[in-house]
Amino acid sequence: MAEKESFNCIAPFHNKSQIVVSDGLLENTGKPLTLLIKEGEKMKDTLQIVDLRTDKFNDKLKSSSKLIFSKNSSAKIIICTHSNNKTSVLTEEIKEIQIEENAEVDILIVQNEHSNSIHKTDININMKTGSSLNMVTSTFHGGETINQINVNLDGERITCEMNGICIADESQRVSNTVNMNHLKPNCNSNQLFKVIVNDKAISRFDGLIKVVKDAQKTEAYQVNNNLIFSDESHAFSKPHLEIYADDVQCSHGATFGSINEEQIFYMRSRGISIYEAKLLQQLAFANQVLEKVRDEDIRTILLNLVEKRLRGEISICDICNTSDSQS
Amino acid sequence: MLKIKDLYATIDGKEILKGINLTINEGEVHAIMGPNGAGKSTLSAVIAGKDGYQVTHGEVFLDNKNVLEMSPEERSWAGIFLSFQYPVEIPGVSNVNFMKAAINEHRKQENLPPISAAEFLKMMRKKMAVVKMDNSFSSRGVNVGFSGGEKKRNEIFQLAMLEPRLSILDETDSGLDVDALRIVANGVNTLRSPKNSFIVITHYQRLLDYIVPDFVHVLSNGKIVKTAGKELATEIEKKGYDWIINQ
Repeated sequence: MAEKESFNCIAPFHNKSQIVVSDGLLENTGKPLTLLIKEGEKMKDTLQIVDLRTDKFNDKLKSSSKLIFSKNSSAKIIICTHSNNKTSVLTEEIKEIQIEENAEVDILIVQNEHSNSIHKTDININMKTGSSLNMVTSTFHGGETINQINVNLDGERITCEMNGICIADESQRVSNTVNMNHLKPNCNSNQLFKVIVNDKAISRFDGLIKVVKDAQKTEAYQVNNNLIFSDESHAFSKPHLEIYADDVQCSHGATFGSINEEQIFYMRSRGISIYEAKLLQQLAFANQVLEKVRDEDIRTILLNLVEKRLRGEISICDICNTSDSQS
Repeated sequence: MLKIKDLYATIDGKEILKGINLTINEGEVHAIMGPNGAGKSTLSAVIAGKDGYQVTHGEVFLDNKNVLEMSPEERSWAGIFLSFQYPVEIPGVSNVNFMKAAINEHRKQENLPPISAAEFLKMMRKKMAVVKMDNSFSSRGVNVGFSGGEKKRNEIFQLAMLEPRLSILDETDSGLDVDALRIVANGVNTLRSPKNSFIVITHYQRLLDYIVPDFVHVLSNGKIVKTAGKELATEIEKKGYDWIINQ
């Protein structure tokens, strides 16, 4: 528990490719990151981007990065946001993600900062015909984490899985805003955001599905489930739809629940301690998001992170080697 | 082994148990019968440690340990097992993960390391065979989408895995067809030993044809009003409870 707020994740990513971005700039070039996956390129290994925030810029830092997935490419990306100190920092970043025709992209975002950090992330995603995206935004640590995700489905036959998991405790504040814009016909989008709040944590979810007049045959769904584990934690949810087409299938909804005492007693009666029983219940709650992760490696990594976070262990991702961290 | 002495318990201020006395020795099977609302399920809930019940008087000891001071998980570690009348569904937790967590917690109490994957798998297979459970059950969510019979078989499977000293079967026969009843009863019979004991709570003699008790108790209005051998169940089946209660 003691070390859980500090994090350093800059060590080499053994056997796999890794890019380190320090305070918004690439270590070797000193420029903001632009990642280009070329036309037809099929990346076999998962690429890890480590977004590290140091205490070099104590006040506000603005940064931007661009990820471009060209036609017919496929890639799996893990983006880890960390800070290697505990000073109070504010980061405002913009990520532009361009997914061209028939590209197939898997993205896992891992947000792991400390209780003094304020991090505002705007993610603007533009998708073209025939492309598919399977993305999870996972928020584990951070003082205030504000995610604004805008997706433009600017082509036909696009599939977009835009899911999220947030585990917040102490005085964490997390806000997720998703704007899913269906601009063309025959696209499919799904949002599933699962939130667990404990202690005095506060979560906000604001999800919009917008279907323009021409976007017929749209299928778009949105669900936000909240598990409220303490009397002083809060979860707010604002699911909404704006539909201007007449031949669509859309739904949205939110649920709020707390500990299921019947399940807890059943588990305890089998000798599972109350601590483990609550943990199993939270894992079960998170499981639906994990099931939606298409890539097996990413799913395993995320499961590991969720379990460690729930156990209150330092939020190290196994993919980041902290033992030989740079200082 | 189990000693219940002058036990009184209330729920929401209403007195349900009004002075239960019961002693169970190693290897014995005790049937508890009685009309609806007599307090049968309350008794099992109080022994297992369910929230919401207040013990106002009396004591429960298992192997000279004070059960009423223990948490539900400590009671399980001490060897108490309750087969639920209505087993709880836990979506998102697979049977295999559920049982592994339970087994490992039991092992932790004995300072044993977590069970190896191979050993656990072997154990699962062996114990599932006791109640003729298909292997496909292990990856499914705990009791999720199980039929009534499958749920009860899952209870007995868990019993077989945990090898408790004292098992309480709370209306295990309710909602079972004859075939499922036979499978469940055979499962229990194979698990009987001179070391472990059972409390079988039931409304009907039917189950007791398969799981033959050493003693039959009649619980009425929060008290045990009659105790006899297995023949009492047959008599109740014929004559009902009134002749006992009105005695």
